[in-house]
Amino acid sequence: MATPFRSSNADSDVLLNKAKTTPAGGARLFKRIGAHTALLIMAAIVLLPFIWMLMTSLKDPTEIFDTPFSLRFDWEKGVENYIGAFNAVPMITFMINGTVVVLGILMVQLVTSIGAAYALAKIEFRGKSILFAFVVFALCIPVQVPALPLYLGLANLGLLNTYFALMFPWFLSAFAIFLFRQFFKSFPDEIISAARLDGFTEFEIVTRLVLPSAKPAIAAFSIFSITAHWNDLYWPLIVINTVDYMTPPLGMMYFRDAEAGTNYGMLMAAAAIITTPLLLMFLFAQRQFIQGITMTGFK
Amino acid sequence: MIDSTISLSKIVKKFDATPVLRNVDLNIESGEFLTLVGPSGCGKSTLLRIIAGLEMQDTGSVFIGGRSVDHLRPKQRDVAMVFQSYALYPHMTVAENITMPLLMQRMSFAQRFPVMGRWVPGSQHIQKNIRKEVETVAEHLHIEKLLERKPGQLSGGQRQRVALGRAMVRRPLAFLMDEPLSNLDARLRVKMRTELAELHQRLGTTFIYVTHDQVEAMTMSKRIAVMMDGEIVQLGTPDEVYNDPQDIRVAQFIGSPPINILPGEVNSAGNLSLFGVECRYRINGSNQKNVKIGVRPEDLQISEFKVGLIERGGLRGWLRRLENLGNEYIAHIDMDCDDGHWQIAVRFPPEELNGIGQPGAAVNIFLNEAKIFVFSETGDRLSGEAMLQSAVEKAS
Repeated sequence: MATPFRSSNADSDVLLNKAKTTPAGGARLFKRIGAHTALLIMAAIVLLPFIWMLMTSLKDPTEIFDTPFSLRFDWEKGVENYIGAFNAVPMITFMINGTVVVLGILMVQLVTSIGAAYALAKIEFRGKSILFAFVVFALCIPVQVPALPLYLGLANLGLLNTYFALMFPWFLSAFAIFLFRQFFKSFPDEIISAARLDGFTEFEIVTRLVLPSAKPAIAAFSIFSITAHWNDLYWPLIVINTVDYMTPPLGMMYFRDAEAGTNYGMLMAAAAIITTPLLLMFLFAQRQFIQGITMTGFK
Repeated sequence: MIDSTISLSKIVKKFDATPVLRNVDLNIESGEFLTLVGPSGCGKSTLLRIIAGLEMQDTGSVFIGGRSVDHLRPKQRDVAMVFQSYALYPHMTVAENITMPLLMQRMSFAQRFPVMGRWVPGSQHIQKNIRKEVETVAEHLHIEKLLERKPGQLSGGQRQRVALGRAMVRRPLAFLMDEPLSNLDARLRVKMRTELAELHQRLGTTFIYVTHDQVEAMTMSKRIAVMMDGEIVQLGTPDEVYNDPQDIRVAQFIGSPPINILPGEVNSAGNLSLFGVECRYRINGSNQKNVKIGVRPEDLQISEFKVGLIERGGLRGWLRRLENLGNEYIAHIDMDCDDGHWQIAVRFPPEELNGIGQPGAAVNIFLNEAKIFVFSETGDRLSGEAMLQSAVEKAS
């Protein structure tokens, strides 16, 4: 990890040196500082709630409202808050539930959407454009619209308060189909032709050739999906009412309603705990994620 | 000898309402090197893809090795294809790229299943044999040192060889090549041209080669099929296509610099005249009045302008530009007449340069009537014959 940082420093040194030597260098340096200042301010605005959360979690309850932005931390109280968050509610259970649901949804979404997207991108068949239009149309339907029939259906089947109920509505993702279809479109047709001549089955074309190229898109979608479903409160609230199946956000609500309702330090500690996995995941997949969004997979 | 003839019978293909191929018939002999040549959009690539089974014809049939393959999927047709972009599998090494066709051909779906396939009975043995064959092919193409690299790390010429290796390794009945050299630089293209021709000689397999480059077509193939607007307008040896074009489009497409097309007139007796000067050429049994005369740049003779030569059948033009190619010169000549302005090219050896070279200077052009082609207004070749001695011989 050390090398890239060092080299980027070296690069900026070179730029600064250049800026000093060229006549217009001063103006360029000024511009550069201005741009970075603007970016830093915007980053600060975005980060503020997050930093506030961390600060609150490390404070004594009395300080939270008196001096919310003071940098006076009570580390002992902080540790107490974090331990308390684990003890007051079954935090581990929430995290496990969240992981199971999020990964379950992602697996099924990938399987269904990659197949559909490949067909829409690379196979000629009658009604293809209509089907694709349906996918785009499905993108426009808010999740609340099918909630009631889904709830009634699950209730009638006696499936409320199960992992399946938490995952089922998300198994098919129009967004994933759309994203992968756009990505697969840019996969060279000649390679697919060559593979067909060599005797690949369509399944093998997808798994052996197209998917390795689509890693950035898969990473990007995975992050979208995991974040959305890890943070989702709306659907778990509808289908879950036992602690055993609560996902982290629902658990947070339960937390607030129960004993720790006024203990904001502990509440924020809990919030920090459930955000951490997402942060770590993003840090690891950052490069792939950005590549996937900017769609520069080929050439 | 394995029968690797390929015949096409009445192939029609439309994309939506636009016809791409109109009734194409073609018979390719076993072991022949046939080139499909034509301008872009003439349907030659589509025809190749139909032979490969990547595209389905609307009507008509394809026969490979004497049997109809219309109902067969691409891999069952036993043909290999080399693509313009090489179409190597980007995430696999060179060795894996060349291995794939054999793997797919010889191993069952279960045997070639990643990781798990290793424990399916028989797979280890097949793998070992395949590895040997891949190494042989790699040596053949001098790419044995590149086997562990990925396509992204190879130069254009190396990728080309890998693509050839992948096609060769399963010993197909026929090779289909879709503009395989057009992504290479000029020097490498000439080299690969020779190598491909040698490869064909060594393998003795049927090659169908698609190109828009008439030089590739002329130099490599046994026969050329010139395609225009979804039809084969002429099929013949390079010699026939060049020296006996049956259609004005063929004459214009083959040859560089392109053939000169000049306006001609035919009188009631069938005698041809060019720019009002009567030629020693008679058209057989045609009632055409206005015709087009095609004459190759090397079949014109150029000399310094002398008044006396006009009487002997020379035409007058003005030199616009002279190109020195080392072994030959190409003169671009402006000609003005009642019908308008014409530009023609003349190719001649350095020995005949004497005195020509000043742009804007007047020159005499002589036509070799024995070498001209006369086409009707619609572009069909008209038969005719040169009479007496040609003007060129007279002048010299």
